[in-house]
Amino acid sequence: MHPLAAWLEQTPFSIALRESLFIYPVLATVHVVSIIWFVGLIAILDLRLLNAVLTDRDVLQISSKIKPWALAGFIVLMLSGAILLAANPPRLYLSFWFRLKFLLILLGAVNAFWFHFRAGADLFKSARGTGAISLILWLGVIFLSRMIAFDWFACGRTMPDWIAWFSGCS
Amino acid sequence: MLLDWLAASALSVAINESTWIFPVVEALHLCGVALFGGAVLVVDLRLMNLGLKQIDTQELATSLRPWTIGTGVLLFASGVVLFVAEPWRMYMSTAFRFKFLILIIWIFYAFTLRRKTIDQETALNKVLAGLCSMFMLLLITFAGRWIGFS
Repeated sequence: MHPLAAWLEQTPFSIALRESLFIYPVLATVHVVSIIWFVGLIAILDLRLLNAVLTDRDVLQISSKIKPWALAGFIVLMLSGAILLAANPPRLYLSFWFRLKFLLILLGAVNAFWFHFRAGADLFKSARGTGAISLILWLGVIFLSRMIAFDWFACGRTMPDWIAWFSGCS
Repeated sequence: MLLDWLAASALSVAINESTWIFPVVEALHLCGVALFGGAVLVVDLRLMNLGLKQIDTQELATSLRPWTIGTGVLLFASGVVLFVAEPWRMYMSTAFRFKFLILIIWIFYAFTLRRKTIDQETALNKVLAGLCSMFMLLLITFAGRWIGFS
């Protein structure tokens, strides 16, 4: 187990999170609400990139209006997620699903930054690809998140070698 | 009783005997929550004159309607499967009953007052409609999560 995860687990903050009756449910709700906020709004932008909605409207205009709201949602998502992580660091650190989820979040962020920093004409050639990748990645994150609660690939159980390796089981 | 029949149904038995069906359907349900919620949220924000301000509220709502209904159907279908998996537990759950009640109210509200307000000009009515819708969805989300904790 990673020393940082072990250290974090025994801090008063982490202990308080685990012992509180209401903090975890509240945090989980905040996390779910911000999922709707972020993924839901981004999906609208992605649909526009895929030419599925608001087809008469300018892509960049829609993008510039949605991005600030989506970003705000993303920040709340990351903050609530960080606190949820702090409540049980070792379990999540060694979780196959959580690691995969985190990887997809990184890929999703890269895709979003790529879209954000591209300019003008060449944007529209790959706009559909960006939109599709975005939807698939963020929905994938939601899907993987739900799997975290299940212990199928907990260290010590029988599992394929590559999953054990990826999960950091020693 | 209907619930006993559902609990004994082939679908219910299959879900309970399988390791993966329930988690996958639940994950799909959550994806539906995000997508449906986002579509509704965009219009609610627009009603409050936030977000996609340059687009007419009516145009926005109309353009998003197929997507909203489609994701709503996904939510409902996955929800039915989740219910059939444990009918008695859901039926007896305060959280589920609360969620379902607010959901029915919201659907009714969305098809009547909210839709009418989208076409209206009054700023105050629009802001109230947006807030009302968002608040109800917040309650539904909270109750949905609460089911998992109870």
